[in-house]
Parts: sequence; C-alpha cells; structure tokens
Amino acid sequence: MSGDEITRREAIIAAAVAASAAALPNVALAQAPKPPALTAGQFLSARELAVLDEIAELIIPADAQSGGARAAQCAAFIDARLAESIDPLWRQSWKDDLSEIDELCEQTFGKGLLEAAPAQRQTLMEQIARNENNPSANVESSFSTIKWWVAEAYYTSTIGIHDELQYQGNVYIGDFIGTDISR
Amino acid sequence: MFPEDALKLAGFGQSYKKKVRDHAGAFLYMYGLGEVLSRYENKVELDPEVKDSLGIPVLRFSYQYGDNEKKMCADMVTSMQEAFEASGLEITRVDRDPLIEGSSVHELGTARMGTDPKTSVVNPFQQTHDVKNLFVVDGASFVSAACQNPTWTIMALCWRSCDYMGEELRRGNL
Repeated sequence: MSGDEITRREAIIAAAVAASAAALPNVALAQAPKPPALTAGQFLSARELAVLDEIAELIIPADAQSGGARAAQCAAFIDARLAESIDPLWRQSWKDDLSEIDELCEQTFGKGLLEAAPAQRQTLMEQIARNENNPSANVESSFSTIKWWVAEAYYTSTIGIHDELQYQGNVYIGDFIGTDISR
Repeated sequence: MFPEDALKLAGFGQSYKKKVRDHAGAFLYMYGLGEVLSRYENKVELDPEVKDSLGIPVLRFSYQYGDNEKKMCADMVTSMQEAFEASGLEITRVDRDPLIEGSSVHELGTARMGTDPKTSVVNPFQQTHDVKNLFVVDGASFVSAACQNPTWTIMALCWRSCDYMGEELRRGNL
C-alpha cells in the first residue's frame, strides 16, 4: 500500500465525517433497526429470542454514537452460545428467566414485553435492575445475568468495539514513523 | 480493548452506555494479594463418610479466614483507595470483601515441612522423617500458600532437595 492510498482514504473518511456531522447535528445517526420478525433461534423460541433482543436493546440502546445491542445482534450471539452449550441446566435457565420477565410484564401492565409501550418497558427494566449489585428476587438475578452477556456480546462486536468505543487497533500501518528520542 | 467496567457498572440504557464509553481505555483496577496464615484449624482430610464413584473417600476441606486476614484485607482496601485518590482517579467501585475461601487455589500442603517429626512430614530438604529414601519435591511441603504463584518456589525447593540428595548419596547416607 502506498502513502498516496492512505492519504486518499483518510481524506474520504474525514470528508464523510464532516458531511454527516454538518447534515445531521444532534440527531441520532444510528437508529435501532426495527425488531426482526419473530423467528426461532438456534435454541431459543421465537418469542424468547425476541424478548431477549428487546431487553438487550434496552440495556445498550442505539444512540448518536453507534448502533445498539440489536444492531450488534447480541441476542443471536447469546442464542448461538446456548445452542452449543452442553449444560442443559444453564440452557433451560435462560428460557425460564426470559419467560419470567415476560410474565412479570404481563402481570404488571396486562401486556407482554413485546406488546408493552416503551414507557412500560422502561418501568419494568427499572424494577428488575434496581438491586443489580445485590439481587435477591429471581428476576433481579436474571437481569444481572442477561446484562453481563449482552455487554460481553456487544463490546466484542464490530459495532461495540469500533463504532462505539472508537478502537483504532487492528489496522494496517503503512509507515513506521517512529519517535525522535534525541530531544 | 474490552471495557471491563461494562461488566461492573450498574444501570442500563443511555446513561450506562455513556459511562462505559467515557471510561473506555482509561479504566484500571487494583487488587490486593495477601498470605493466609497457617492455622491448625485450616486443614484437608479424607472424608469419613463421602466417597466418590470408585468408592474412594473424597477430600474434606476446613478453611476459614481469621482476624489477621480480615484486617489485612481492610487495610489493603484503605491503602488502595488512598493511592487512587492521591492520583486524582475517579473511583467507580470498591469491593471490600475478600474472595470466598477456596475460590482462588494453588494445590499446596498436606506434607508440611518442619524439624519436628511429630508436627511435620518432611524435613527442610523435603525428605520424609519416616522414610529416608523418600523425598517429596512438589508443593506438598508448603506450610502456607504465601500470596503468589508457587511454581518458582517449588522449583527452587526441588533444586535444593536434589543438591542435598546428591551430597547425601556421595556420603553413602542414602
């Protein structure tokens, strides 16, 4: 790769950033994609996977900086880990946890998590997250577990590492500029 | 590059995401390591009742922290907080409790070293008091686990035992 190519690429990136910043000030650039149609995962049922996807997006939502857990396909990542697990108790615990949160929403608002209004989902999340550091109720433990996995999935995704955290590593460096140690 | 505090920070939603972002690349943590003093009450023995699938008695551990360990832990936390505060770092979380007993393990002990055959299994050269031709040159001779990984010390003790063994052989004592 020649120096000219790097310069051109840098120029294109700089222009793109400048253009987008100018055109869309204070507007969320990365909107969360719409929830996918209900389809079963490799292990989770369609409903369980959709509930997990919704909870994941509530934990790490899309914002102006980057896409959220939905765009990063965190639910699918977790579902794939469950599908390959050889621990039947652990796998079942995820089904139970997701169902319990969904049922809690039904009991509280008369609607499941997927049908509840955004404000109701927010209220539900605040309820199950309130004792995060010292969970006692089962749904509180479930929240901690789900959040741990969503964070793992999200911040190891391309969106999480590069778009959100702006990690600059793992790129080709054309020239080694070095450091002047004479000064 | 994984932001470790993403797994520790409380909360969810925009504020959580922003906190992780703000801390990313600037997060560090410190933890203390200390030696658990050897006490008679802390021991491992063969369980008189529970056996494994082959009918062999399983190990039974009796192990608890004492006052020294609890006070040492509290002192560590205070010292670390002071260091962070003096450095101008924002402290986001403090864990004051030591790890649960047995959750961090190096396999050591059970053939303790000592000069008295009544209270020890091997002498300072890891030679058993009872059988002169038997040397135990792994981590079994440790009387405590110190506070760090033991491999170098095991190797050093083994070296020392071998030097002694060679000299004793030369003298015709083994």
